[in-house]
Amino acid sequence: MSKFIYLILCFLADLILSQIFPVDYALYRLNFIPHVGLIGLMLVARELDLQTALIMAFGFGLFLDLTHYGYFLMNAFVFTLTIWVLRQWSNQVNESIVELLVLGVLTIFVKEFLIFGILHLFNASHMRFLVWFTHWQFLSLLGNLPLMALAVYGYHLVEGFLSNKDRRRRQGEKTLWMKMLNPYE
Amino acid sequence: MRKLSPLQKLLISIIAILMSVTLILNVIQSTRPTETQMGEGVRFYAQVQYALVQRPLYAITSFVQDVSTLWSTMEENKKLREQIDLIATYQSRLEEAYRDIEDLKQLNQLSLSLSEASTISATVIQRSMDSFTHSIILDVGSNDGVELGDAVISNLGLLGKVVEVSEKTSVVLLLTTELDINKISVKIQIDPTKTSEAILERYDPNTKSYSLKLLDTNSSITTGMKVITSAAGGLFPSGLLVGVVNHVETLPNTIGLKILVTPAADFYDLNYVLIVKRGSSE
Repeated sequence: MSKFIYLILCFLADLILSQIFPVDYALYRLNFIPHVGLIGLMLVARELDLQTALIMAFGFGLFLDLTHYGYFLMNAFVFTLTIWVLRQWSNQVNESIVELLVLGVLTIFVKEFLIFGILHLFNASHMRFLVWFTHWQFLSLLGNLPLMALAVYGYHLVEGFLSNKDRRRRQGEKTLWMKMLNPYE
Repeated sequence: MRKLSPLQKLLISIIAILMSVTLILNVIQSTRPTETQMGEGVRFYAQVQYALVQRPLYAITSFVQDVSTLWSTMEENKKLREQIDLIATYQSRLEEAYRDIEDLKQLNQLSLSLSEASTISATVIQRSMDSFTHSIILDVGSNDGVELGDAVISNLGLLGKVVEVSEKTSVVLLLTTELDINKISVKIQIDPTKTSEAILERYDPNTKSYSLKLLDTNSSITTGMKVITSAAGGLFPSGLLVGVVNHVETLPNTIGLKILVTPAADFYDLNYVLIVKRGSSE
């Protein structure tokens, strides 16, 4: 439940940041698109088993599809595929902040690149890769780095809160598991 | 088959509920012919987002901007006061022009001139954050008189057209969209009395310009000419500024010209817009 609230807060952060940093549709300025929600999803999905992580990614993608004008089910498909790719890489990555930041940048890039690829596949976009990268991705990838660090910090806080809660619950237990393991001690 | 965990069951239930609600809402919409395909979810989410996030944020940023620009506003006020003195002269000229138009309409037995239009002001309550949709959702809908195909402008120029309308909200597809469904008829102002008809085909993100197809190939188009809407499409009033020609190229294999136009509108600053409806407000 705490992780679910954490995810909602991440998507809410996206919403607030997107109001502060609006998009220039004509591409005269470089665009910054916050991806705190995706990073939150990445951190939570790493801890879950693959099947649950994919279902969760599909659910969040579907939520975005239902609440934003565009192609229906595209976000659901892209989020699911991104989390699947992430899980393949995630096994090779440790818990250090630098590695998580690199993984976060890759996750954002993969998600956006999948959308770019799908649109080109269906001839729905004419944007060159270089234009797309410079105007939609460059500032987004850089700008999301500090946000990622905050998201990771937030996630550690949630984990700390959960482990404290678990420890308190265990302390309150009447039967001590240590004694059960060795009753003659 | 592996048994599902309680978390997986919960997630699948949420997805199933979301899918069912979407399906039911689509069935309801198809039984109401006046409603368009715009998702109930999109509309509801946009309104909640505007009320809870966008509006308070906008109030705070506006306040900060107002305080920071206080001194420059005082300077602007001095200049504006000088311009106000000229308004009476412009007003009398405008009224004279309106009288001329009415006289000419009566002489030519016209009920409506092509440039006549009424406007509805609107606030942007949601804007897409992806690289292809380029849509904005406005807080006005069919209850306020908005109709499909109405033009939407900012204070600088044409922004796009209304593609979906519900009772209280409407979706505008901007001219910069990557979705290839936003063609509009325009005309290039060659001189104050002569124009050349063209079609705005799409926005090219690579050149950051609109791509135009010229219908009258005998016209001589040069850079710097203004592009305005044409009433030939039947939906838009004529005379709304679209942009300025920035590049003209003769195509080697065809008789046509490749014309690129710099947009007049600023697609970054989109908080308040006007919906322009063809015809008089009276």
